[in-house]
Amino acid sequence: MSAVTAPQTDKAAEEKARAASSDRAVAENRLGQKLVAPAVILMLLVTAWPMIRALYLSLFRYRLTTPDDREFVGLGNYVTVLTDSLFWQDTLNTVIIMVVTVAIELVIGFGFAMVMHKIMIARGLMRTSILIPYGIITVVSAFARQFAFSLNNGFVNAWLPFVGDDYNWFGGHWSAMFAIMIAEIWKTTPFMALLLLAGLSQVSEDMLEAAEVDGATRTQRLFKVILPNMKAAIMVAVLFRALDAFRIFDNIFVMTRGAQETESSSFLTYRQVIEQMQLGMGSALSVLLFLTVLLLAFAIVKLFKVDPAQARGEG
Amino acid sequence: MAAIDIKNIVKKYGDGFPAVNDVSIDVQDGEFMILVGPSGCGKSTLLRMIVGLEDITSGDMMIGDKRVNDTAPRDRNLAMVFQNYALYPHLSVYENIAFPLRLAGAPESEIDEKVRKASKTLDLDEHSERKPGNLSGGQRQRVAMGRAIVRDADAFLFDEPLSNPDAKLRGQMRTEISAAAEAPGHHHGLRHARPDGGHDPGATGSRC
Amino acid sequence: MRADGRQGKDRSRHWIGFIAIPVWCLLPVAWIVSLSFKSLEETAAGSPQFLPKDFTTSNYGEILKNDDFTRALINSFGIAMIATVLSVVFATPAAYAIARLEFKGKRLVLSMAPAIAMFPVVSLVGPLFDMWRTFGLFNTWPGLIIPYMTFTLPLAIWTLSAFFREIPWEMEQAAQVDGATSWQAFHKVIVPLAAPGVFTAAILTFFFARNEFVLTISLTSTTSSRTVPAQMSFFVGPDPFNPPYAQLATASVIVTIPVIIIVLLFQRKIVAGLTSGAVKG
Ligand SMILES: Nc1ncnc2c1ncn2[C@@H]1O[C@H](COP(=O)(O)OP(=O)(O)OP(=O)(O)O)[C@@H](O)[C@H]1O
Ligand SMILES: [Mg+2]
Repeated sequence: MSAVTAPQTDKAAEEKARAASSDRAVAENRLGQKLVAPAVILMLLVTAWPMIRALYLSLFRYRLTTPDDREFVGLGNYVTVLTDSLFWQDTLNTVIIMVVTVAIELVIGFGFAMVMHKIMIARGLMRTSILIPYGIITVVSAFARQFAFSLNNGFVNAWLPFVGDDYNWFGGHWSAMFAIMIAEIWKTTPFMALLLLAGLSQVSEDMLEAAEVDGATRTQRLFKVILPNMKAAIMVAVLFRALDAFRIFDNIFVMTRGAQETESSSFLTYRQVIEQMQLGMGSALSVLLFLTVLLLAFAIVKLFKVDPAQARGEG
Repeated sequence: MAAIDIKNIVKKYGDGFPAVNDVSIDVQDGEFMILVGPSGCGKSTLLRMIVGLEDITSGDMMIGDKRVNDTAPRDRNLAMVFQNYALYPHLSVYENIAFPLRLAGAPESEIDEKVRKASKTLDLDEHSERKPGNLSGGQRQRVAMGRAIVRDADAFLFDEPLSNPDAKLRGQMRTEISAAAEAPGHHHGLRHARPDGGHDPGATGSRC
Repeated sequence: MRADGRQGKDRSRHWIGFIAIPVWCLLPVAWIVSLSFKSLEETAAGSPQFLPKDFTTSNYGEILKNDDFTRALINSFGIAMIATVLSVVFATPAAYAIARLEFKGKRLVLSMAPAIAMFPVVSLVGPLFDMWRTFGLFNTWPGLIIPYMTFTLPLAIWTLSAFFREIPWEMEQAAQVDGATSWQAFHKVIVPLAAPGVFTAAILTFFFARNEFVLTISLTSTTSSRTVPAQMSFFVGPDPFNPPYAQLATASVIVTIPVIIIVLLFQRKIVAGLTSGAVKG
């Protein structure tokens, strides 16, 4: 068989094989669907059902303290929310936190992944170190950070040379946001690093050697060979982390309780439902948050031109 | 322009195994050299030392009149086809071949001309836009070959270049390799091939 | 492997990372450990230095005598464990199908999994708060386990299918050719190959479930079902800017010890689970 004609022959053979095994394909299709069905139904039940309920509740003025006053208001709650500057302030905070933390985590995470990929000694120590922030409870890490930054009991002021000992991190908007973002970055960089490590281990050593012989500098190898070949891994990492960062709640709850205008979208929703008992308004916020996240996921997939299934080679 | 002089080269891998043991080969400028030897005798290792991908345990590697033991691969200006081709999966066939030219900052028109010419010789024109992952073994090997021959390198090293293509192509590529070796500026070609693919058997390492 | 002068630079770069990674990762842990050995009086008076002035272990005795805290430990473990087991049970057949079979809708399931796993659970708080009180699920274990499945299940599907893809399934056939029955092939070849993956996926899922905070503070009202993160956030007392530092740090250390043990025992497997086959280039 000639190498030039190989593709055609391959295709023909493939088609023949497909025709012959179409019965098998049907059976496989059926079995596959049967096996995923329970998980998918359960997922829909626990996720979609409350969401539909939220959609319904969002059309009412409904306060739990006065349940009898429940009244249909149509899109009224949405109008109220969308014209409220607090909503926009909180959305802005959330976006800032998401963009900054994901960007920094990508850089630090890539550095970690590189080190873990290259270093051959003490790999156990590296893996253990990196998994501890990953496994630690976010609330715990938030407390650790809050204490570290605290005025009377924190070491940060003493350690940082350019910060006065009486600097109150939680006394201003940006410094409090900074502390929150540090906590978020510390906790989730390992996750990012491990996902990037997955991509890095797919970049073959031979290809890098070929690039060296072809005359690529270190920087050219990084940008023209390594990163393009890690696109799928970067996409998965960014998708996971961006969505995760967008729902930031734990760190803010523990560190500032939303003081100094550090409230996030999730925190606002929580406050409406649980503290204010405004179920209608809270549900409208829930729906908006849900839509934003969908939009975000869609945008990331479009931006990278790969979707998670493709990234896993199931495309 | 660039003769390759290999003087008493020894390569011991990390596990202490002497893959290449005291080899000396002198390849003249423009000479065509084939290394033949059984599997595992150190052919790939020797080529990798010439391009600088492998540390030299002892001995001197001279390219032209320069000792290059400590020179980075990208500063040696050699082209090589890898035994496993090592293509860039994210780039099309065309871009794979163009890659070294782009790195060298060649003008677009020159890149296009050279890549097209190479694709034509290697019978790859109809696959230009495809990704290497979807090619057959022989096609991949030809892409790797294309990536080497478009360059204006001081020497060309081919690690088993003719093991996959069929007889007709093999003849064609042999001609192409000779042409690359004789073209002005390409004063020298060094290749090595499987025993069955080679003629002009040259020097071999003492262990082989 | 090379002596072209770059190795030195490479090596020093990696040495910097080699030091930076453990420092970055472990410093905050060292900090809470140190804080847990400071006395309540010391932190009340203000104690900004890293190490305790006078070292005390009294916080540990006190926190372990605190019934609310021990109760929260039990809730946390039980709830996260049940959510994990249920997720793995449902996810295993699904992940097997995704890894090995061709069927319509496979791409959709795989694409939706990360989005659902990272879905803002706070969106569920409103409707669940309402419904759970009607169904009598408010402030109960199932009341948390059910919504936990929204993220544990897709995570388990995602990690497990990555694992299953890496299994050399031909071994099953090879074993049958070698004379094993189907059951023997499954039992002697597939189970040992798949078990580590299932186990690792379970650990990862468990970490996520145990970490959850929004639902647990919203859908519980007493210690009968409050998990550790919620209970800790209630330790704070009236003034969130002046909490009982040492005690919270002690509680933090206690709940972090199991993480460290699990990580020490299974670090290799967990990293493999998060990386191998998680994405294909
Ligand atoms: N990274 C390595 N570490 C240790 N030993 C190695 C390494 N690479 C190659 N070797 C050993 O060095 C010897 C020469 O290997 P090499 O790849 O150069 O052989 P070759 O002549 O190219 O063989 P083939 O024709 O099969 O490609 C072999 O015995 C091999 O086992
Ligand atoms: Mg070889």
